[in-house]
Amino acid sequence: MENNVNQEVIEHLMHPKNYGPLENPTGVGVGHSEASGEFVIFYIDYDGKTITNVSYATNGCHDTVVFGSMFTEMIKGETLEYAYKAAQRLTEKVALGAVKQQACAQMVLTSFDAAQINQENKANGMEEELHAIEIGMDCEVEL
Amino acid sequence: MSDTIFFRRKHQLWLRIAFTSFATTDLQIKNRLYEFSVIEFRHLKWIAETLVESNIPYDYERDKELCIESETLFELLTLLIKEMEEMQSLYDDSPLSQRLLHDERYMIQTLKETLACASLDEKLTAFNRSRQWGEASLSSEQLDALTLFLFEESYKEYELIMVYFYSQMRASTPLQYGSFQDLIDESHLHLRSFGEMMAKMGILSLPRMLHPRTYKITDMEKFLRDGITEEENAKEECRRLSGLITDEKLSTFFEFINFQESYHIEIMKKLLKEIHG
Repeated sequence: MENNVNQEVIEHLMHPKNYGPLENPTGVGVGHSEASGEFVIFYIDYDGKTITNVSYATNGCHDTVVFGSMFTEMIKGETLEYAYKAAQRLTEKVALGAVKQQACAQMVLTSFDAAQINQENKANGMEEELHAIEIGMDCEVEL
Repeated sequence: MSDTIFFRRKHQLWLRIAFTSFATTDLQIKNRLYEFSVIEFRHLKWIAETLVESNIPYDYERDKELCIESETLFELLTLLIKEMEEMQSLYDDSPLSQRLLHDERYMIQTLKETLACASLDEKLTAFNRSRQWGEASLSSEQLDALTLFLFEESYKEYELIMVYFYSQMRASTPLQYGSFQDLIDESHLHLRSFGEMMAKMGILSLPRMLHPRTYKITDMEKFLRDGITEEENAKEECRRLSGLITDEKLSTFFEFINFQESYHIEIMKKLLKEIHG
């Protein structure tokens, strides 16, 4: 996003899409950095065929907000297979950018992975409120 | 009256009034609205104290659809009046309720007097996404840096107000209570400054909702240490912006903020020492 603050980015910053907790999600996951205290919490509602609803929340930086907003828009109403491909495309795209942006994207995608693990764990009878995964990269503000 | 839903509505009302004050360019209306927002925040504090004393949980959830974008100032004022009028029936006979009720009656009357004067309405530019900085000619790189800084820091200041506020309500010593109050007051000032700047650039928007993980602090020592690191990062950003942006007024402003952040660090160190020796 650096040096590329276009209107689309401004809209995601002013009105992040799919923001805030979901009621009764099938999976809840957290991607977090112990070092910085930043986190993304991801909510997913999956009916066995499609992701019927999805949302996220974060205390992270503007890049994290924009990635979360974009990614949830991309996968809402789609199949899990599509969501995996979308995650892969996002990873490949940010790999060409700044390290900080890679960390922000990784935090969003890790929380998505964690939400699916939580969903599977619950389906297997485990009582788990949410599943958390720590990420190794630091997302520090760098304008 | 004192329950979670009521607290949420008052929280939203405080935000709505504060951000309406940032949105208008009429200085008299702006200042009056900001005074009202200060009163509303005080209400929020008294309500939180009552809830904590009664062991009633509360949170910072908001209506997901809460939005302050409007074409005109009068549209925003009309919404404020509607919200306050709806709340009037929620107050009971307690001294606190009566205080809140009468404050809001006065606010409603004042806002209605403003609405009666058609010439005071204005077409708002606070949401037009123009991303121009008035009198100064900034390059697109400078405008981008300023834009991202404002989104980042307006959220952070809101987050800090609400996190310190949550901790203040649970403070165990006068020093803790007072230190959190200092930090809250400072963040109010910064939120106002950044909100005004966002309005000037046409990018004013409410900070996003806080997740409980953000403000329900389980390890205060870690929270304060992380907070000191964040303040140091914010100082660095102010210094970078001050150097990057050639406009003298803006540059001076960021230096001013930078020195305020330095003192926040001292307050947090004092808190850290007090809490963990």
